[in-house]
Amino acid sequence: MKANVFTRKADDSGSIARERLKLMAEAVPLDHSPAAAGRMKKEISEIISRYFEIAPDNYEIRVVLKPNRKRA
Amino acid sequence: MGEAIVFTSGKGGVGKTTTIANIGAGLSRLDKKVIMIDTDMGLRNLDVVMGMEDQIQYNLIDLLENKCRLKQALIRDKRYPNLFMIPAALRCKKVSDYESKLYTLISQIKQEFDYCLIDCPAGIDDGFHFAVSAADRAVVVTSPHISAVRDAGRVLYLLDGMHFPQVDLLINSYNAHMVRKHDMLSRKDIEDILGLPAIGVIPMDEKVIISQNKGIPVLGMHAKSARAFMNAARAITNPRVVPVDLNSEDNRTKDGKIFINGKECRYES
Repeated sequence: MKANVFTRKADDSGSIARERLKLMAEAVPLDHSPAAAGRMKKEISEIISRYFEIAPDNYEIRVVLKPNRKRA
Repeated sequence: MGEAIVFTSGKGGVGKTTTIANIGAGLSRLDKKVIMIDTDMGLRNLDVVMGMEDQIQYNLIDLLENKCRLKQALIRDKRYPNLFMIPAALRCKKVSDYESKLYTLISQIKQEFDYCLIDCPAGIDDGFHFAVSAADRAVVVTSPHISAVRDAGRVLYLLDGMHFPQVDLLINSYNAHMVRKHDMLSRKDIEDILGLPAIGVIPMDEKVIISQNKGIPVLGMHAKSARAFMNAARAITNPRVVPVDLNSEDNRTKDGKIFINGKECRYES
């Protein structure tokens, strides 16, 4: 069977690395640990679910720093 | 009373952090109590290699500034018993101000732990002197790249003028196939140039990248480098014992005789 190079499984190590780096990239500029970023997202999603009836799978919480801000 | 060992290389990217992570895991498998300290401020990586980046609460600078206790800053590895880590800070103004505090911290750590492995930043400026200051032993990690060997020589020269009774050499990302084709510096070449026998040779291995993607030491995987790291860990516990692989082709002639250091070895298996 030919290996399909375009499909990525969630458990191959490259995908794991990409997900971990994404989490780290969000955590570093704010000087929080990734665990704190995870807790913050959970709290924000609790607040959102208090006001709107949206399932957590249907939205995404992301912290975006403006590019002109001084990092680290 | 434990020992503090600094892993340094001069050049970056030769595998100091990988080596620390795997030798730390290897030593913990040998029933030693091990702590790994990352001193690469600003560019900390040991936590990522060990898969502990989501457990960080305090870092080394917090600990040196007495913002937390030792127990709070320690991160325990779930897979290996007796393996702990202290991460580096993401920012630090002047690391050389903390040298005396690091010395007291490491003397305190040495009473509890058998081995304290210090991850040194690349380069030979303040960060290098900070990392090296509190160590009892040094291991110079190099790869067979010409630039890495030159930098290792420079670092060995610097370490010679310091307090170390013993400096060891470890060769990483070694490609035996290329050495056989005379396209890479061999172990003997590197040992001759640096004037120091190597305590271990770690082969080039793709599994290292896969294991780091997953955030686990390669020691837990079925890989050729895993055995080499385990041998290196044994060599660190007892540098006078040189592990010999009887089955490797380097020691075996075509008619099945085994030669070690030029002498025939009769070995009944």
